[in-house]
Amino acid sequence: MNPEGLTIRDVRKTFGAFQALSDIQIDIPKGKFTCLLGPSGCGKTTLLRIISGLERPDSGTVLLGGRDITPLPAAKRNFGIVFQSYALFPNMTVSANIAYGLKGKIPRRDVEAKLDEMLRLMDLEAIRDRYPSQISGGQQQRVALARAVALSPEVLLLDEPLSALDAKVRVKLREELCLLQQRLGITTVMVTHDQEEALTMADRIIVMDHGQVVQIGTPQEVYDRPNTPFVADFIGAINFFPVQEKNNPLYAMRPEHIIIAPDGAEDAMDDGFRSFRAVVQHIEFRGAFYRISLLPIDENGSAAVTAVTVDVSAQVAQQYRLERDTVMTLQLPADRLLQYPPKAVGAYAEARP
Amino acid sequence: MTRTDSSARIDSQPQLPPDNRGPAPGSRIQRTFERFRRSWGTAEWIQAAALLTMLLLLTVLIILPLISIFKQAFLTVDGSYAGLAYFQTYLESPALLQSLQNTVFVSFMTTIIAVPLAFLLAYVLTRTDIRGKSLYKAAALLPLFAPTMMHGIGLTYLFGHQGLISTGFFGWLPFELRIPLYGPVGIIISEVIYTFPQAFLILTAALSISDYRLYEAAETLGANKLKKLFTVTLPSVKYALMSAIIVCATLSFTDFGAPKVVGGQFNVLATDIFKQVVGQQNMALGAVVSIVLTLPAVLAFVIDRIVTRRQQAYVTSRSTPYAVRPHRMRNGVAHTYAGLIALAMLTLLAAVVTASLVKVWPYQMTFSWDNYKFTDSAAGGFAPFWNSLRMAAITAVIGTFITFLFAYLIEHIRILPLVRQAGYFLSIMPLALPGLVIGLAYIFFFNDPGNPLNVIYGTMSILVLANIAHFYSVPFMTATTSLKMMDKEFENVSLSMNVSWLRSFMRITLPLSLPAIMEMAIYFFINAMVTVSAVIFLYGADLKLASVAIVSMDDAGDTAQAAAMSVLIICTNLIVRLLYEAYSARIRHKTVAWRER
Repeated sequence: MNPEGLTIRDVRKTFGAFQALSDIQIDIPKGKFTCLLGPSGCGKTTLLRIISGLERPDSGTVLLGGRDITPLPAAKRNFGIVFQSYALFPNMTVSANIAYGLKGKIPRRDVEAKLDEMLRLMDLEAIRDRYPSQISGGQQQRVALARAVALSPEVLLLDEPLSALDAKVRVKLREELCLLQQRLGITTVMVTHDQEEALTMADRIIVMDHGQVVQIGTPQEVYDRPNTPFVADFIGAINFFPVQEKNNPLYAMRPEHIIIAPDGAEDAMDDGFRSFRAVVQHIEFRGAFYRISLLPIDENGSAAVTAVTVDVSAQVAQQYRLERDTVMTLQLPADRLLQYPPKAVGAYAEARP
Repeated sequence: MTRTDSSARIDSQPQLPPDNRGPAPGSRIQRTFERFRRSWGTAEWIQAAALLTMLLLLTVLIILPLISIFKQAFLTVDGSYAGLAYFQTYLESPALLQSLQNTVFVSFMTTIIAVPLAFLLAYVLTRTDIRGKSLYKAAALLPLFAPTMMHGIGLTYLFGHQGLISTGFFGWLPFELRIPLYGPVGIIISEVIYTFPQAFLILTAALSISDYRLYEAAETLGANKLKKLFTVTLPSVKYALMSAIIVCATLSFTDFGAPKVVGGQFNVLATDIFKQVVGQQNMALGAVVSIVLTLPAVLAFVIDRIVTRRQQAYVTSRSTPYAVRPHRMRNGVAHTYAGLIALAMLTLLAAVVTASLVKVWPYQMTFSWDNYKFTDSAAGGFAPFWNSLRMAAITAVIGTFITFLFAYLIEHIRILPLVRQAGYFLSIMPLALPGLVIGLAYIFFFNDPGNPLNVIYGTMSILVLANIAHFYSVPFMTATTSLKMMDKEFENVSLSMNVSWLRSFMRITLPLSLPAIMEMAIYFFINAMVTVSAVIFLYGADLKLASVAIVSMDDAGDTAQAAAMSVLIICTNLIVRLLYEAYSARIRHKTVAWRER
């Protein structure tokens, strides 16, 4: 169990005929940054809303430090929430927004002090008397964050907090958010559909799909050893190597792990499957590296339909003078090869017709 | 290229003729005209002509009649300047000042009763998930379909000397429930019934677009229900609340129908105007009272314009709709409240209908059609009803046509911005003008023998024109909103494909605006059916109207016949409305494909 942090047991939720969450079991460690990651409609936001108390589960329990908080309404939980588009009170200034939850809970003198502390912490002092419509998206985000943490909540919940911002601001705020979380040491749960965000920010990632938890682990674990073809495909880029025969496992490998070598190069492992010839179809310049798509060629010299993508450094690409129609040999190192049981092949094929 | 050009200009500057440095004031007009002549094609000249015709028409319909009111108030009969003499007469008349005080009192009381009642009902119908909302809503909107005299008549049958409730259900109950109906109490109750649906509509619109995210944010910050009400709900409907207050205050300040029926000896400004003009033929004093009546309305109008402009910024595209959580106790309270309001409205209507269908209330409560024969001299038979129907139909057709055309001209033409702004201002101004003032202004203006338009005095035309002027603003705003929602790109597409303006108007603009156009026509029709204030000065001897007939029958003591006429009006309006609903349901069904993305 998880006596310190948040524990979720057997949580189910349906909306009409739609099963939004089925049998969720999660332990969220205290003081850590946890990401709920998944495609839209996977139930991650519903789970966050259940944790916050804004939504009731059909069954199951939510425990905080071993205490059952399932029946508590949101107002009684003392959780801070940052909504997707902030939901700042448009009729209140930045200060009034931040002080909203403080008033009536702590003595008036302390409200002022706490407010000043928050404004300083979030670097909002210059705009304290502005209204939400008068400040930028990034500033609104910081106000929403300040408002959420002002009450020193036990848990901070973030619902896609960066999705409404443009790319530059998003990267900057990502870092700020992580620093703030570490500084306050507050248990944080963030919902996102952006795998890059999850990989860069989280201590732990919980991958969800179709209302179920698919994998839980550190970003490295989830990236290097994805549990299912879905996770492998959703996080980062991946090549699948479907084998026609039944009851054969599904193999997969990330583009940066495939070794590219000149045509006819010796296969170090001497294993027919793991080394094959392929013809370059397209070269994509990605700045730091090239992403090459190649079509595997069989013994008769005819090319397959599904391309394999390989990431190579600029140095390697220049060394082999890669261009369209060059034939190369690709090698799949065994220690990086991912393997899924035959059952998963069907699931994978179903997901991608 | 640019560089050589500018250096050449510096070189040649001393030789430039002096008038090229800046336009001389005299030549500016000439050059502007030149610019028009060069850049305007036939289309622009036609557009300019259309805009100027529109401005001229609005001036004749609104500005010139208003000027004639001022002439009456500031000039003596022989045309010399009277200064403030008539106003002084007004201020020295204690009876008239008493009316002013009475009117303010009625308006104030109506507002503080009607707005909270309407707010509660709007809240109950937008923020709970009770069943039968559309029925409650329909009951609350019933007064919109009736002339204001009907509320007064209904009240006399409930709380009058022989009223159902005042006599304790004709002595069935052991006690009586008498209230001093004739006077302020009756007027205030009538005005509350009259203004209630207006406030209800404004507040419902505002409450149904509030942003649910804010409630969730407040909830997670530990706010209780009361705090949410004061920090989220009320601020989000603040401007609508002010708008509702203004509308209730203005309507009850200027209403004529209800005080005429249940006012008794309690005079208000609207009845004063009527007495001065019709009773004593004192036109000048009538004009002065009109101005006194209009001033607060104009002030309210200005405040309302400022307020509505600020309202728009509140809701963003990211807002999420309000989600109602199940709550049995709350729903019980909601049902009770909405049910009581519906019951009150229906009881009032039922009293009027019953009274019109019995021989002699309350002595001979047997069924009879006699009251619908309108045989007494005050009634004048069925003619007034047909006249009203004809007037309402013509007003609806011509009014809708003119209003939509003007809205289109102002919205879609790009030239002459000043003319368009003037047109817009004149189009929303009638909102501030009480019906009585428009009626009075029209007599002064059209009854002037020197006016070439004098021929329409006493005809159907003047009634239709007065109605169009009176009710012009709301349909104008409906049309403008509808036209604004339409993508301007459509027109550019048509232009680029060389489709004629007329074709794109007929094929795109008109079909897309059809719901708005129907809504406008209905508004004109219903209001023309129920109005009494503007037309009471204008109807010709052989062109008596149903609403006017109600006033005269009630005056003559034929209250049951007045009730019957009211029932005819409300039935006509309900039938028209239901036909429209059926039609629009069919249209929605037919066009659902392109309305849903």
